[in-house]
Amino acid sequence: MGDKSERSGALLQGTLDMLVLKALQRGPLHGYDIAEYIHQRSGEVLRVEEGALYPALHRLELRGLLASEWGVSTNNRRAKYYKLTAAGRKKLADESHSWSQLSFAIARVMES
Amino acid sequence: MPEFITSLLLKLKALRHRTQLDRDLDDELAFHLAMREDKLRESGDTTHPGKGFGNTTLIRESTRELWTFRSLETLAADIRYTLRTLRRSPVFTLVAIASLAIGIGANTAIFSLLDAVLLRSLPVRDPQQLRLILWTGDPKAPLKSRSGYGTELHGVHANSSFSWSLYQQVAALPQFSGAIGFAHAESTVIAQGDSHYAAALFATGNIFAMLGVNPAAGRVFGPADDRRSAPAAAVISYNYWQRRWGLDPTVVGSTITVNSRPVVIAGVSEFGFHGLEPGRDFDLLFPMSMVADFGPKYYDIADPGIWFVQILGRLRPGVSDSELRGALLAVMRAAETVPAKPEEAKQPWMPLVEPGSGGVQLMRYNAEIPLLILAGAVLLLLLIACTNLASLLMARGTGRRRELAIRLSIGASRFRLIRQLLTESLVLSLAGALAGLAIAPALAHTAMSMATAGEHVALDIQLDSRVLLFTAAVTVLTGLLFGIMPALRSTRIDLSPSLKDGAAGATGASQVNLSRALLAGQVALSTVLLTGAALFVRTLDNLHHTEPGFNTRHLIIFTVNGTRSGYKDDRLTAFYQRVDLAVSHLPGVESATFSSEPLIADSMSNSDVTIAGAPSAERRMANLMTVGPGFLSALGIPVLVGRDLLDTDRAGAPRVAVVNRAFARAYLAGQSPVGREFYFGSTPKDALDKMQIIAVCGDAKYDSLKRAIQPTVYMPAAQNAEWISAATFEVRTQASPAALAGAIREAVSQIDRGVPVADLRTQEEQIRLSLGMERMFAILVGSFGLLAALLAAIGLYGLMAYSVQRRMPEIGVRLALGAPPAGIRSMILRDSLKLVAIGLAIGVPAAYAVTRILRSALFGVAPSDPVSFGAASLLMLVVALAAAWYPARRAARVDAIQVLKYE
Repeated sequence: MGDKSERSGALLQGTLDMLVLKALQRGPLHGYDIAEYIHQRSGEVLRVEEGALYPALHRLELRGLLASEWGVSTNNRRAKYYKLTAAGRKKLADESHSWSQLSFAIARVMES
Repeated sequence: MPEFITSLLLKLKALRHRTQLDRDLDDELAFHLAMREDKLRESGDTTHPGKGFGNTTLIRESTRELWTFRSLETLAADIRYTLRTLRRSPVFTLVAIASLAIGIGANTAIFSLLDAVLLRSLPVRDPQQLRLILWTGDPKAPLKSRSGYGTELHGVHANSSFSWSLYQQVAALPQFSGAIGFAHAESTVIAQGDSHYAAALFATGNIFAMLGVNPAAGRVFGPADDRRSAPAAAVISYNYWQRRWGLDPTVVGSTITVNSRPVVIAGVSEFGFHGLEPGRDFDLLFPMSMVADFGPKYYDIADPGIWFVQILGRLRPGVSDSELRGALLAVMRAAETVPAKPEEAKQPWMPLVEPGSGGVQLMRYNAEIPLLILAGAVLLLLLIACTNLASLLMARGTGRRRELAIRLSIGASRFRLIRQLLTESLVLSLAGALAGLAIAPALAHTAMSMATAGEHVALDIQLDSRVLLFTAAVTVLTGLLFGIMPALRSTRIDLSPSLKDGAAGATGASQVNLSRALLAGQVALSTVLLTGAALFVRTLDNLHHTEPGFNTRHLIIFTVNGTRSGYKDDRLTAFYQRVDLAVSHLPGVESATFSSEPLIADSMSNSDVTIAGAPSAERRMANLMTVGPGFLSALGIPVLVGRDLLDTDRAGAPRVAVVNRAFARAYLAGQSPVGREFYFGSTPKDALDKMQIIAVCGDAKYDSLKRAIQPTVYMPAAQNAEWISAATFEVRTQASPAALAGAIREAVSQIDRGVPVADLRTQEEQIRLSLGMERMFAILVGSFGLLAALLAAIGLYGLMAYSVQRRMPEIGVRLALGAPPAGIRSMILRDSLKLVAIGLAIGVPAAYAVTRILRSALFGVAPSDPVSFGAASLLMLVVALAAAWYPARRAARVDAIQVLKYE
């Protein structure tokens, strides 16, 4: 649903979606940790704006790629945890595959 | 899948648990903020806990957008807000909705008439394939008599009828999958012991199958019924079934008497099918083969010289009109067997192929111009209502400037405010449209019944989907038209002075100027409408004061037709004389007579006459009226020289006639006509063809009050049976029609039970009916004009009241400096008058240009009639004074001290 237009029209949004899915591959996380995860894993290069993160999380959830439940965070606060659904896993696999193809292709062009 | 559909699906998915989503989001963001705060605190920065987080509200809103229908919800909020605002100013709301209701309602009504008369298709299968075949020019084919109709079409004179043999050749053309031949006629029906006249339609047996019209009861005809040997049977229309038989199913199979012959009712045609000519519904439908038995004597299928068959064909798919035209032309050329007379310049005989989806559009030719005039008037009215509302809204916008300025300053976008204001005007126009739809049908029926008074015109006026679509479009356009300018204007605000104290800044002044311009425009439009209205009122008044030339008071008329009840020639005139005698002996009757045509009823016969020994031998036209004994004295037409026609002027006696003054003046150059002989046509067959003029009578109107009096011949019915078919009786009596109607019917039925009495009314009523169109114009356009004047008064009052309030400080200063209150008052009145004067300066020339279109609908006034222009302008000036009176008085009573203190 809507995949085609996303890929062609909004690369950034699509990329953020992919990064969010990737962050959740290991297990459930809340929004703040997702942002932190991406920030740290990117070597503190990528900063995820909250204004982009939360719309992305809710969009992915409404599409059925993520599921969520309320839990208690490490510092004893009520937090909303997101996890991948089966559809989300499949989507992540697809995205990773096409991403590696794309980055490989770009790298070849840039290095030639 | 397009993006917006994807997001719409997501919204719908989220619809069930939106409150939950909203609450969760708040908690989630709060958690995020808390986490961030912790982190910042750890790093030692406590000054800006929210730093880097951005605008929480913005994040929330952009996330919420995933599951909220924002534009719809904004609209709902706007509408709620609008309703609240409107409730706060009930007078404005009432004026707005009422004027829009009348404007939109009137436009809907006139469009529904246009729809019924000009646009609607017959309720039959594939109406767009139907073609009506007409012709123009001079046929060199045998042609003795022609029925049907002739009309101006595309700049040529079009005729509708063909001979039966021509119909057969046309129907056999391969370009047609079928063609109906048909003709209309009147008939006399006796059923259930009662007699009445009914409309007959003769049509070929293929009519029902070709049009796909089914029976509502019994059966409809097929080609097998259209044979000379078939038993006499008729299909009746659903309307007739309802009107005369109360939908009684046992009527099918029963026998009635039509034109003195028994006929079996075979069935009832489908509901909604009224025949082939809108406005001329049939009661009885006969197969064409029965036209010899049930049609008039001038409908003869055996005689190729008698043309009475109209043709409606169904084009085969893929055949073009020009192919059909070519084929028709070939048929017509082959039929031209009469050698052309070289001395007469003749137009070639040509076929005309017209769209037949609406059937015979005869009504269209008569109604088109009046309907377009009405459409112009209602459009003008709606424009006036729009300008009025625009200027009222502008004034309101000025009053709301503080509110709008506050909303702008706390971050509302101008677009958002414009949208809010436009929502307001659209809500108003929608409310107006709903109220307008409620009054539209009544208005349409009123206009229709006024215009067609006297004739039974069955027109199916309904608010069908096309009319509703039109109304919807008009509603939206109206709302935008009156809303857009005030919305743009009142949101263009210089914030600081408006917020300070609401005193008028430069914006206020320019807004007032725009309001003034709008009002001047409104006055101009109203002047055009009022001038038109005045012309129509003058027309009706002129007609009321037109002398008919005979005494119309205490005169009851009714019509009897014996021709379809076995009477003809001398027996027919004898029958009419018996009725005449019987009616004249009824109690309360002073005199009774009859004539071949009713007076002032758009019915007329004429012929060319040759007058022996006249100054010129050329042929002349005269109107003919065949009358009973004592006609002139009974009607009160003065006999100037000679004597009235008498009982003794009977068959066998010397043939005599009376001519009117117009005849003597036009054809005998002032010489005395008495004693001269004349005859019809150019050569008399024998001495019996000649008639002697025995008298000259005064000029009297014949078929219409509007037409100038023509040379007219009155001749005795007893000597001219061939010139009379139906007879209209004129009865002079002090009794009311209601009181005498029973006695008259009884008297006629005692002579012949099978001959019904029709169209019984007073002569004055007949004249009133003949002026239906003029009365409709005068009343409708007149009311529209008065309404326009009222709206102008409301608009002017609003503007003047506002301007007085705005100028209060100035007025206070003037008063304080010693200006007399009367001077203040006249200053405000002058202001209003000046505005109207500007409106008149535009409106009067505009009206001068527009009213010329009305020429054909006027009587006794020129389109540039100074009285009408003067009356309209004067009314507008009176409106200007009346509307400004109260604000001016208020201005003059201003307490200077109070005002200046406040300043």
